[in-house]
Amino acid sequence: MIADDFWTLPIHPAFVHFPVAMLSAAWGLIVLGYISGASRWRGLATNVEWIGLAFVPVTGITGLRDAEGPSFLVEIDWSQPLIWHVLASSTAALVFAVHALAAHRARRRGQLGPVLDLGLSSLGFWLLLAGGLIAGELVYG
Amino acid sequence: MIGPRRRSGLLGPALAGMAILGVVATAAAASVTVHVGSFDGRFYFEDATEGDGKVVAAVGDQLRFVFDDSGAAGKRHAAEVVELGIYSGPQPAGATWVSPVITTAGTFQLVCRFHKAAPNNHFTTLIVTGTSVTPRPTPKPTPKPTPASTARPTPTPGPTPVPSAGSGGGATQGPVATPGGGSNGEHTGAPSPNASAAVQTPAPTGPVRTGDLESAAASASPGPLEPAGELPIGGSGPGPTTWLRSAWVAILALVPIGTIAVTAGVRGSRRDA
Repeated sequence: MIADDFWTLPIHPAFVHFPVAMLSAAWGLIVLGYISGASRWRGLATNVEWIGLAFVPVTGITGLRDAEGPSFLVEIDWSQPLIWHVLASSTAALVFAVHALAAHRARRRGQLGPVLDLGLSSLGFWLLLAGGLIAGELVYG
Repeated sequence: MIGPRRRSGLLGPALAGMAILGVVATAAAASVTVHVGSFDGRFYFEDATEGDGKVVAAVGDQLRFVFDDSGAAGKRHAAEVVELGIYSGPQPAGATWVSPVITTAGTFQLVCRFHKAAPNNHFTTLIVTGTSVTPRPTPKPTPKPTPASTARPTPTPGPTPVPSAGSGGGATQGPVATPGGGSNGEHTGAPSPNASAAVQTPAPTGPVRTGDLESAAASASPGPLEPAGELPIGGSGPGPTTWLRSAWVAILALVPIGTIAVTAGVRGSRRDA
């Protein structure tokens, strides 16, 4: 027998950790590649980054579903953590996407410069961290 | 036979005892239980008179919030009355949180901070009857005089706090701050991440004297209470934003992340060179 509130079960938490883990790992592998000098870390970071980005839409859709629609984006309450969580996380995904595309284009002509490579990925990782911290306070207080 | 000197010696302790008894007898406040939750898509705040669309309390009361469920849409319930400085913080199912003593009469909006916006519309009207008690302003410290010469500056006497008749009672009745939880108040019941310093205080009953309320408000309120006004539903209110802790931690995290990135970049550049 399915309970009445079965369909109100939040599903965003079940999906959000996968892209978070992938994109965080990508940043760690990029850093590792620069420190060790081994090119295999760079290749692995690219693959992990694209896998993480592929799951971002699923995370966003489940988040919107758990928030009961995009109404909080229409009537924005800047005092609420939800909007800041969404902003930080979405921007993180956008920055990682820009980084992945830039790295993809640069590979044809050589290599992405370390400033752009480490700068963009570090910015994305920091925004990811900020979004996660806000989400922690949003759920656990 | 007791002489005049002996009688006057007994008079002081007797009066002091009567004063203490009087304070204890009158310092207590009543508590109004308010159930918070959602059922079948309906979000509610309900006192003893269910379904009337309002919560009624009196000046001197404390609101005792009972959280019936763990929230909805992935967010917990958090009771808030901005004008009264009441904020429970997000609470788990089964938790109880007791607000500070209400000192302002009027009509306010009692909201759930996380579900107040449409389509949930988790708010109701809070009517506080009685006469408002203005909390005593916090004495401002006198600024230290800047020594401009060798002459000793004349110290300016600061405002002298007026002793309150109910200071003793107020100390025991005043709300207890819960670290990491609400702005102030008592958190009881089910465990939560903020419940490490939870304090169980029996709900006080009995009449309240003005002096006790003043001292309780002065000791409990983070600042002067704002006059009752319109709560900006869906807008940014002046309520405490505890979630800003994460913003500070994120800013601090810039240091190690930046350090690691710069170190990696420098090492990579040296190797390439």
